Amino acid sequence: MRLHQLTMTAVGPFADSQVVDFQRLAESGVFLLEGPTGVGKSTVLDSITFALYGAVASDSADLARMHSHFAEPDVTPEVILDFSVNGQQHRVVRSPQHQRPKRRGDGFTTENAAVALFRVKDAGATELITDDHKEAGIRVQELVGLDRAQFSKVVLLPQGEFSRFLEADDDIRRKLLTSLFGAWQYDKITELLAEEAKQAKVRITEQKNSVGEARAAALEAAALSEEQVELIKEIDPAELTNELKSIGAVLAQEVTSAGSVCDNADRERQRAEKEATAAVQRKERIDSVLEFARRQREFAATAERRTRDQTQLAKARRAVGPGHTLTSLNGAIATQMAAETTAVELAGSRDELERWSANPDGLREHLTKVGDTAAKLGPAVTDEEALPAKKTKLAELQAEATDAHKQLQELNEQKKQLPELISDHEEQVNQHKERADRVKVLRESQVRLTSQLSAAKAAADLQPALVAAQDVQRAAIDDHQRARSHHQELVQRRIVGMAAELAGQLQSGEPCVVCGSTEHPQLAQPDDQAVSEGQIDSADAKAKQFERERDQADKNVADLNQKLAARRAAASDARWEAVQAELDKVIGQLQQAEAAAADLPRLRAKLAGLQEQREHNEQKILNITGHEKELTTRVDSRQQEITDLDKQLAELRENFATVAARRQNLESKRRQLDRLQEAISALNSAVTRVDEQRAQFEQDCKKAGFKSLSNLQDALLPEDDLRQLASVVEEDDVEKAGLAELAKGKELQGIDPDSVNADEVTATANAAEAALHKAQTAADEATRRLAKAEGRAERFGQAMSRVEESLAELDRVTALAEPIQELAGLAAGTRTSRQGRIALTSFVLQRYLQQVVIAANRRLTRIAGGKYELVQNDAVQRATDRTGLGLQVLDRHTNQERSPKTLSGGEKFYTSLALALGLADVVQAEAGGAAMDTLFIDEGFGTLDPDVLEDVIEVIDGLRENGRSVGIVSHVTELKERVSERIKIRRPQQDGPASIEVIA
Amino acid sequence: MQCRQIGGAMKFIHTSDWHLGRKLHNQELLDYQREFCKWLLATAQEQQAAAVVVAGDIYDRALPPVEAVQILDETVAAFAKSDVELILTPGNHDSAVRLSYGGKVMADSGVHLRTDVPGITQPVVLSDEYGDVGFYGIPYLLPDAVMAELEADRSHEAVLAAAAERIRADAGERGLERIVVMAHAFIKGGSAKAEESESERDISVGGIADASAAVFDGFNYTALGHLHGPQTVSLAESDTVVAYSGSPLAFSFSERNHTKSVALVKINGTGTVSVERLPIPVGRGMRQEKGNLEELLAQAADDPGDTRAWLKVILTDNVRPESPMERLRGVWHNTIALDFQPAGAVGETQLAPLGRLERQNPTLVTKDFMEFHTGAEPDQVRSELIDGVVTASGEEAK
Repeated sequence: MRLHQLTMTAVGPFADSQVVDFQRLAESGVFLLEGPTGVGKSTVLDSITFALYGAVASDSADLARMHSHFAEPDVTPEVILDFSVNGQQHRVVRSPQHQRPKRRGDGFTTENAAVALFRVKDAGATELITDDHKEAGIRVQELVGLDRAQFSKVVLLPQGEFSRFLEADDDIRRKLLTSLFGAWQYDKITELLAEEAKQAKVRITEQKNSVGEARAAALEAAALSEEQVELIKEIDPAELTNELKSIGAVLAQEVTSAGSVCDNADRERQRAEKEATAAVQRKERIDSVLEFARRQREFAATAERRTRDQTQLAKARRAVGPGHTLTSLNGAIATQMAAETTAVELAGSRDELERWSANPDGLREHLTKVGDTAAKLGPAVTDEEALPAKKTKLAELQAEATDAHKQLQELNEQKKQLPELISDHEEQVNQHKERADRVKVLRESQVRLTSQLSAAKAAADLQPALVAAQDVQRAAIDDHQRARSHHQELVQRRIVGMAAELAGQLQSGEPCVVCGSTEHPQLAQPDDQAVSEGQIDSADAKAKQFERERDQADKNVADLNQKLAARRAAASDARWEAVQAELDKVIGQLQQAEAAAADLPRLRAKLAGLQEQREHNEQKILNITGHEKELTTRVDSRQQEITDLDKQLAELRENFATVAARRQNLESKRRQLDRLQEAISALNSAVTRVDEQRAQFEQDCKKAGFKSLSNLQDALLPEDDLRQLASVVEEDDVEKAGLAELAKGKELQGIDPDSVNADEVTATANAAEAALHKAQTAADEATRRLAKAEGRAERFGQAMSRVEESLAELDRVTALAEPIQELAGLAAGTRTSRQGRIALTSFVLQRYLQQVVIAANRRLTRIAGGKYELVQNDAVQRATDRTGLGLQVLDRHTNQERSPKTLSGGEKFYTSLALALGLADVVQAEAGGAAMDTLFIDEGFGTLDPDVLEDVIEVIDGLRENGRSVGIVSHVTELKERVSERIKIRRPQQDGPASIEVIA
Repeated sequence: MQCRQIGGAMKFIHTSDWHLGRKLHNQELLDYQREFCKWLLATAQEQQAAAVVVAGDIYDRALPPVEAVQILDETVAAFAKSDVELILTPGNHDSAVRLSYGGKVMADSGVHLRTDVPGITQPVVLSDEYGDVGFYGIPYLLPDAVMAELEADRSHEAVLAAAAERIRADAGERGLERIVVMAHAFIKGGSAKAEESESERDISVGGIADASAAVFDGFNYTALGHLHGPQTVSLAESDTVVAYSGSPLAFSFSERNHTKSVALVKINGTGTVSVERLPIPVGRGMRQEKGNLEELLAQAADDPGDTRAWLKVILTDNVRPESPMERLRGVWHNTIALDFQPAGAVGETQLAPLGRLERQNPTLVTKDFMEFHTGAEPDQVRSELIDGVVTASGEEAK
């Protein structure tokens, strides 16, 4: 199998579609899947496994991690793998189960896993093989030749699991090699042998059961008593046959004795039979004689009656003929009467009848005339029928004409009125327009007045404030003035005080600090109310304070005044009430104007309508005038037509209500005449017939010998009575003849009826019969007993032979089972021979395993100095443990064998690798085998030391020669340097999606 | 660019494939490699060589072990202090980028690294009494990596040819008449087959590993690296000398008989080249013995030979002896490799296809199986059974 191309969409770390083209990599033999840890290298391998098998490479991985977290939610995760097997290219497309956004509504819904397998023809056309999961699985397995578990041991060595095959159990190894080398038939043979062995065992058991059953049947057939059965059960099966034989003998004996009893009974019965027969015979004879005598007597007694009957019979027979004729005659007379009555009725009276009868031609003529007249009235009748319809139609037309006339009148009226209406409307429209025009202006006024109003109101509001401020101002002025004078006062006092101080300090003759004079005439006196600087300062401060307040108040007032002035100006010095009134007026006017404007379109439309109407009016008048004229003409012509018709019909009607009535009348008259004609002829013929019959009757009577009608009538007998009489006479004749015959018979000779004792004879006969009956019963019983005994003996005999048969069969089956079981055990490896427990398939596969080991060793001995070699463990200590497919590792330096499980990680890795490559070699060499041209190794190189790594790389390099390619997932630096072809997986942003680049 | 006068004709030493850090069957070679590097400088100075050119595979791995880096560090430092120029190019084992570290700084001290494509046309120019000699370094060219830059096809031959063209063009521009080119490749010549050892790494691209020596036509001397055995590649009808210096140590037992050497190359004024091989003192020898175990042990008892040399033993016993390595090491302590070539085997077991099991006769195989276990052919009853079961199994397949 060779891989061509892998496309991964929204799986693992790949948000979108990434393509790996294996063809480009195929040439160099080795390629590297490289990238930082966790970037998705294993995903590539997982995808290959997933594409083929619907599951991922290592058992531990979870399918859920297939669907990429980085993908857009509406991108379907999918893997497409193109590969070819034996030259035929295939494609498998698989999608894992995943969540996708709902098409309607929010949230996600689960989309099931899907698969499609195609065959790819030349030119890339694909042909679907299947899209069913189960079938795809089967097909892929067929193509690849391996199931998933095997695939991951041989083609794709997954991370941490490469050594599975090396360390596998025999069973697993056997399965893998079986599927690789086609040893399935041996598995089948083993299976079938096991089946046979099982069957053989079952047959033995069954046969034993059969023997038991046959025995039971034999015992039953013998119908032994309970104790006998118990006794038998005690007996040893070996002796069974003998005992059964003796039972058989006993049964035979019984048969014999029953036979003789039967014979005796039979003889007895025969004797009794003879006797009974004789007695019965005698009795019968006596009975006959007595009977005969009786009959003779009876017959003689009836002589008179018999004579009478015979006479009557003869007479009645003679009367039959004439009787018939009489009947006919009476019939003819009746017919004549009837015909006459009918004719009279039809003619009207007897006289009329006679008249018409005498003149048949006249009748015929009259009839014809009436008929013709009726026919002639035909067309008139039709016209009469049509007349009402015509009258109706006329009325309609007249109504229409009236309508038209009325319409015309209306229209003319309208025509008169319209001009005035129109001008009215025009005026209205103009008025409204005028008003509407003023809307703009009014709106402006409204705005203006509104602001004016608010200004006026504001000004009004301001007034009280102003007043208050002025009050404050006045108060402030007062305070200030007061404070200022207080301050002045204090200063004055201080000066005075100071003066007193200074005065106090003054010495006479010393200059005054103030004025410099040396004389101090008026010394100021201290005041008790000394004033300190502080006090002055504080009074000053207070005064200043009040000054500030006054200034503020001034300012306020000034401000307010200013504001007030401004507002007043804005209000144009008008008072707000006035403004309000004006504003209301303007508003009212505005509303009117707006209403007018709103209404204007409607009015305009109406005006337009009226104008249109005026135009149409003219046209209509013209049309309708014309129409009216036409109608009037038609009305007139119809009227004339109807009048004419009326006159015509009146003539034809004569004195009937309608012409139709008259015609009907004529018709019925004609029919009557017709019938009359017929009735007359019928009457005539009836008369003729009566005459004929009368003549015949008279003739017949004479012939038969009846003189008169009453004679005849006496002799006549109804048919039934006649027949009965005839049979009585006949019976009498028969009896007579019989008696005559009997008298001649022999039986009656020799017995005198009167001297016989009938009772005695009867009694004897009965007794004899009873005896016979008893003997018969006894004989039957004996026969039955005999049959029973015979039956038992026979059944027993049959059962016996069956027992013998089944014993023989048991021996045979047992003998056959032994070799089967031996063969089955050996083939399955469950029976140990001196060679060990090597199963058939293992035996067969051993030679293949040998090849594999040789091929593996070729490479293994080139690694690590050839320290290790693989050997098949056919040299295990206990031969009985050998199972045929064991593998051991031989250390060449010590020549010791060890289990592969004891190798170190690195050693296991390269040993497994050599083994896998060896396996691939052998498979390829077997033509038609599943050639594995592409191999994948997921990690493991890190466990090797550099020198061993070198060796391993050499080995892998060497694969190029066989046209094989090996994909390596590794992060080992040395490999990166050595292998130039690679699939590079990069993740530009951490925790972001990854992308693939193929370098070849 | 460097101009340095020496007396006489140009003399330089050509070596390659040091593989610093490489192990021989798990044996450390670092000490021997260090010794070699010291010897190299001493020899260069002794011979008054103008330069030492190392044509690739300086390290054994892209990420070499620490001790290997130390050795190169010491060596570069020693050369820097000396008069001898050192020119290094990377091989297929090296990581060219890692090796290029410090290159720009080192250039002034006489250590020149040429590790990329632009560097191909930046020669180190040394002068002797006759004029200038241009030393051009071509790093190992991986076709995939350089084919775009060199505008060449995807093969070793094509990229090398393109590089060589550029060199010729550049030399022409500079007026250099004597040219030495370093390259790391697998070059095959006209007649003699280039000899590979076990230890070279395969560099095939699309199955083709080699280029022909003709790409170097016109250069005076081409100093090659990659093959570990010293050899000259002949180029018919040309004066160009194309040669491998070989590795300084034997890296595999197949090289044990090589005389490891460096090449002392002289170019006179007219461009004539003469090459002398200077043998490298062997740090430790390598031997190989073949025979069956008992014989060899007896031989060892008699005459062990050079027990210090590393030894590879090929055992020819038909039956694997017990603990061979232990016993051999008992007499030859330095046995480091063991191989088996049983005398009875006729060449390597061929993997003849057994054929699909389906085509074999299952009845016969099953009967064989029974015989294998019971030791006797199946009797009538058993044969019939087998026949029946095999037929049934075959039919069920259909």
